[in-house]
Amino acid sequence: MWDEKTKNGGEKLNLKTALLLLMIFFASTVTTITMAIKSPTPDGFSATETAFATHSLESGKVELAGDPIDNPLVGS
Amino acid sequence: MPPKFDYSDLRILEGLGKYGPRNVTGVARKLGLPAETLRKKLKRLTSQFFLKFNANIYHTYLGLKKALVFAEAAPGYEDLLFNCLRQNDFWISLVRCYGTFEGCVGVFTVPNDHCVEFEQFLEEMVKLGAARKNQVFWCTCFHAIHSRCKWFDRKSKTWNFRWDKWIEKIPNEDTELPYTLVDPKDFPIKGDYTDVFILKELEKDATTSFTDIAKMLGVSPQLIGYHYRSHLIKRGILESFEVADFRFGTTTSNFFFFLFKFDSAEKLNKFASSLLDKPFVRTLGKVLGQNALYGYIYLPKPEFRGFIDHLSKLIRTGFLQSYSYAIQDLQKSSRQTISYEYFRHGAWIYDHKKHVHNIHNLVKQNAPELHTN
Repeated sequence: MWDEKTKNGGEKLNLKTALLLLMIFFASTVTTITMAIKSPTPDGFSATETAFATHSLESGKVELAGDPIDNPLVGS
Repeated sequence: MPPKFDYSDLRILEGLGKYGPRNVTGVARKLGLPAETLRKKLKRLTSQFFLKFNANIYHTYLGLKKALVFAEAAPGYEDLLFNCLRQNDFWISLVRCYGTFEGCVGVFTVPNDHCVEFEQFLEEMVKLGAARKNQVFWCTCFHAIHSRCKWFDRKSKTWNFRWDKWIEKIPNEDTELPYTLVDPKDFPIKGDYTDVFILKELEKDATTSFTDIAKMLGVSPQLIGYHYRSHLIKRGILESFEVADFRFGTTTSNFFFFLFKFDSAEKLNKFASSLLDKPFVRTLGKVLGQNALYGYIYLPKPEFRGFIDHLSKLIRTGFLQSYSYAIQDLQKSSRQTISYEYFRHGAWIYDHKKHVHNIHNLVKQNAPELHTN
């Protein structure tokens, strides 16, 4: 009897541990996925990409090429 | 009377150019000044003088070749020529110039595999009649000169241009040039989009914080810091910093684009070495495959004749073969950052057809008499 009780109790404990581990594992996975969705990649373009996409290269009318530098002296 | 720089101001500006303006505490340490003193002095200098801090890119490591263009305008079409040159997406400096000819001087950074198309773009302007002649000199990256204190007299607070001593020492100068003035073997692309974006922000203002750049890109400041240190600095893509000032005054000085030609590499190297620490030189560039040197020269008006006279002496002694120059019109000078919009997936987008189409349109709209010819 004593042995059986211990066995059942042990099984319950193992199940709980497994569930806990599973939760911990999924929690970190869910967090990672959420962060990945929210954070842009290093090559993300945000506002720049939008501006570029709006003024497509084919139009031939837009002169998007660098930003103006507030300095008349020729650089290096 | 406009305010003048004193010796300590010039020493600070020289230090900021040499060590970069991003770490004021570090510059203060190098100059032996308390950081707070330097910050106060900087605040005063920026409020009193025209001062700009810009980053210098080593374009070679982004697959870009530097083109120095001297464009002689067809009389009557000077502004048209200026606007035609702007149609190429890869210009970084465009100025109207005068002197030997009326026209424009342009600096372009052209993707290395599109150099032939770029030359065709320039030829098209001549064919259309907007330019009489377009000359292109493919150059190394331009080497920035930070010297300000040399030849400065502390007591009188003026510069003493020792032209005689300068040319006397040239034959004994070093024949080894900095890597920036040596013809590169290739033009590898060592950066990514984030690197190019950071560079264009630092080109506008070298003191911009990582946090501000990170906000623009929607990434963390730590990531910007990583790209700055591990890519831009470690790989040598960020060459140096420049401090732009008018130390000889705005109305009392001129900027010149000089081209010096030599009959040997040794003479060129010695001449270039002699200019590396001179306060009248802003940048130097070597013409690729030739014994020719480009110099962006800054001189007080009364010193121009002295400089020319001494170049003349160098020619008579056989050291220099020839020289030519154009004077910058500061009233019509434009500058822009690297064309980051055209950098995608590690390569440059160079649309030659668009450039040519644009200049045809421009001529058609502004000078229809040329277009019908």
